[in-house]
Order: sequence, then structure tokens, then C-alpha cells
Amino acid sequence: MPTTYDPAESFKLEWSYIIGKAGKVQVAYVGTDDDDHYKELNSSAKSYTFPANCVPSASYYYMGVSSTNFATSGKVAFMVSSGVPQMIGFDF
Amino acid sequence: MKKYLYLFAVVVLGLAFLASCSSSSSSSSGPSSFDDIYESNKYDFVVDIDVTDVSVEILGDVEPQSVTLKIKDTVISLDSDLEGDIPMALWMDLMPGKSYKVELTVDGTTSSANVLWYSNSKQCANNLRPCRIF
Repeated sequence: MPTTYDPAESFKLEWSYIIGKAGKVQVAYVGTDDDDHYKELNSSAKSYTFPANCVPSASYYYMGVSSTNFATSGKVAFMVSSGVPQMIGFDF
Repeated sequence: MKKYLYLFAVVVLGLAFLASCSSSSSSSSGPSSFDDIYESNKYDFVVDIDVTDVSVEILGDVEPQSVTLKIKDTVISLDSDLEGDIPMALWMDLMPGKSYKVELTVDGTTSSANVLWYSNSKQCANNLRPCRIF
């Protein structure tokens, strides 16, 4: 997991572990308190390059990948996601 | 010998055909992307469960008077925006790799589905997989 992130430049996020083998999609995301960027990926993706300036500059960011499963019943869709974002630049 | 080779080939081709039928039916059995849900106009409601955050989104042209959400027969408290949290006691019981029943009751009509869970409280609290993927 990166320890620094500069939104002015593109950034390639890579991961080796995929949550939930039966997951339908993965979502890579980066965000600030004011804005965020999400990209839906297929269930086997192991990297994503965030484009430059996809979020504004901020003091800290959250970044991660989640996996989502779907189920439906009539007019209701159910989505269950897992994946906890990592904080970058946040001073605990 | 030729007869057995022929039978073997028929069996292999038959199994391959069945496998292809099985995979195509499962892949077309439900949504496979967020667009399938949000752009299809098929669904009036979306129950979105993100680790411990829960929300019920209204997509259709409906104005429900009452909405009740249950996970594993436990009622999830929802606020006026139809958002809530999975209680810790319940989250600790939800085990990754198992499926649990989620029920949405809108104005007396209940829809339910068994959904696969990925993570539980212990893993996420300790930043273990699958909560930690890096």
C-alpha cells in the first residue's frame, strides 16, 4: 500500500489478493473529504491506474479496492461489498 | 477400440457442452455490474451493504411509507435517509464465505435474497484479510 500519493500524477495501484472469489466486480477508489474517484473493474483485475487529477489535492486521502456481490429478488437488488480503505497522509 | 474412443469423445464433448451451458446460465442469472442495477430500470430498491454501512436506495418512482431491513433475521435500524449500521453483535456473527438472508420489507411486501459475506469484525478490526488486501 502506498504511503504517499500525489494526485497531480497518475498512480498505479496493484494488489495480489482478491476479496471473495465469487465477487462480481471490484471497485478501485481514491478520495478526499471533498471528492472521490471510483472505477469499476472486473473480478480478476489486480491493478488500476488512477488518472492524474482525478481528485483534488488534500492533506490526506483514502484509497482501496472493494469487491461486491449482487443478488436480486423481484424489484430489489442487494449488494454486499467488502474492503476497508487505507488512509494516506492521515496523522493519527 | 475405435468404439471406445468414439464413446470417450462423445462423453468429453457432452461434458464440455454441459459445462458451457452451466457457466452461461450462471453468468446471465443476475446483475454483473453496477450499471446492470442502476441503469436497467429493473429495480425499485437497492440494498447496499458496505462492510458495516447499510443503505436502502430508492430507484423507482415509489414513495414507501415503511421500510424494514433485516439481516439474518435481525432488524437493522435505519434513519430518515434509510441509512444505518450493522450492529456489532451481528457483525461478529457474520462469517466470511457464508451466505446470509437479507430481507427488505416495503409497505408490507418482503423481498429477500441470500448473499455471500466476505468479512467479519475480527478480521477488519485487526486489519487482516479480506479487509486488508495489500
